[in-house]
Amino acid sequence: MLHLYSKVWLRIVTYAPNSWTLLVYKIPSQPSRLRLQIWRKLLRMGALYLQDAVCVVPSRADLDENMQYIAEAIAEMGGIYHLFKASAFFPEGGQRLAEGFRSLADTAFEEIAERIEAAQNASAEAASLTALEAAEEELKRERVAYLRARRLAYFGSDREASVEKRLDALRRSLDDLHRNGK
Amino acid sequence: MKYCTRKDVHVDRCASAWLIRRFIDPEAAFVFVEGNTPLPDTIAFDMHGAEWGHREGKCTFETIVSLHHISDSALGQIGRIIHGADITADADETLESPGIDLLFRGLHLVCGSDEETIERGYLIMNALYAAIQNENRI
Repeated sequence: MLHLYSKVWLRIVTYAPNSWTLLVYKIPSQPSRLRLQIWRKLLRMGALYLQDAVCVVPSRADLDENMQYIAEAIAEMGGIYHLFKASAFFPEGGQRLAEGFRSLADTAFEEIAERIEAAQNASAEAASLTALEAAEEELKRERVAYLRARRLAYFGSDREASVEKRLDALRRSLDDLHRNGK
Repeated sequence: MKYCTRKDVHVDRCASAWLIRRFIDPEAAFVFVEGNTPLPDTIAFDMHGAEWGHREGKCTFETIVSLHHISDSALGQIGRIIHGADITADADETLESPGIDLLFRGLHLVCGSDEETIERGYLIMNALYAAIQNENRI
């Protein structure tokens, strides 16, 4: 058992927080949907844009591999890419990137929190079964959005716990409404 | 026959190794290399430029199913799950994908070698296949 723990620990410590995979690319300007396609893919995998067509993810085997897939897709579109393993020259550089990822995650959680609040307000005024069902659907959507945001929060977020609480609160409100026969 | 892929296997390579051995070549043996140059006299999979690799938006598992014209609806479903588990941007492809991704990342952490990861992954893939087949029978 000790041997197993030590193996796991060894693998975990090799995931250095100041190791990054950096993608710099250029895609033909027309048709514009190609640029949009790549931009969406990178956002959906939680990449942080440093500037136009330059983005970074923390170096982790699965993320590195995904950056390679996207780089290959860029080449297939007739674009050019440069894909690097990188580390920040100064410690502040790495911290700044981590902060950028946290900020990205904070924004995602804040947007979810706002939508949950709106759903909470709407459910309080829900006067019909249809309105209640709509609130249930919204709760499901926001739970999925929360799980997605949590998966992409590579450096965590202070907002995560409050979103989870809001989701639970909305769940309880809807349960109460159901119990009261709304 | 020997099949070659990259070291530090993750979900797509584990699932593809299972697919190869269970549906294409029961005698398949697997070798693992650094980088993207396969060993001579092997069939490469999930390597840069390999025919059995990511093609036209498909993950390697889906490509192999398609190249071998395997018509099995459970494999089609597993292909979508593996696609979402392997391609982070498509993680919402199925409900199961993020869980399967996490499971195989953990498997890689607790196994001492790629050989062991593939072998233990074989059981997980058999279980997934059985569960989906069972679900489809209802």
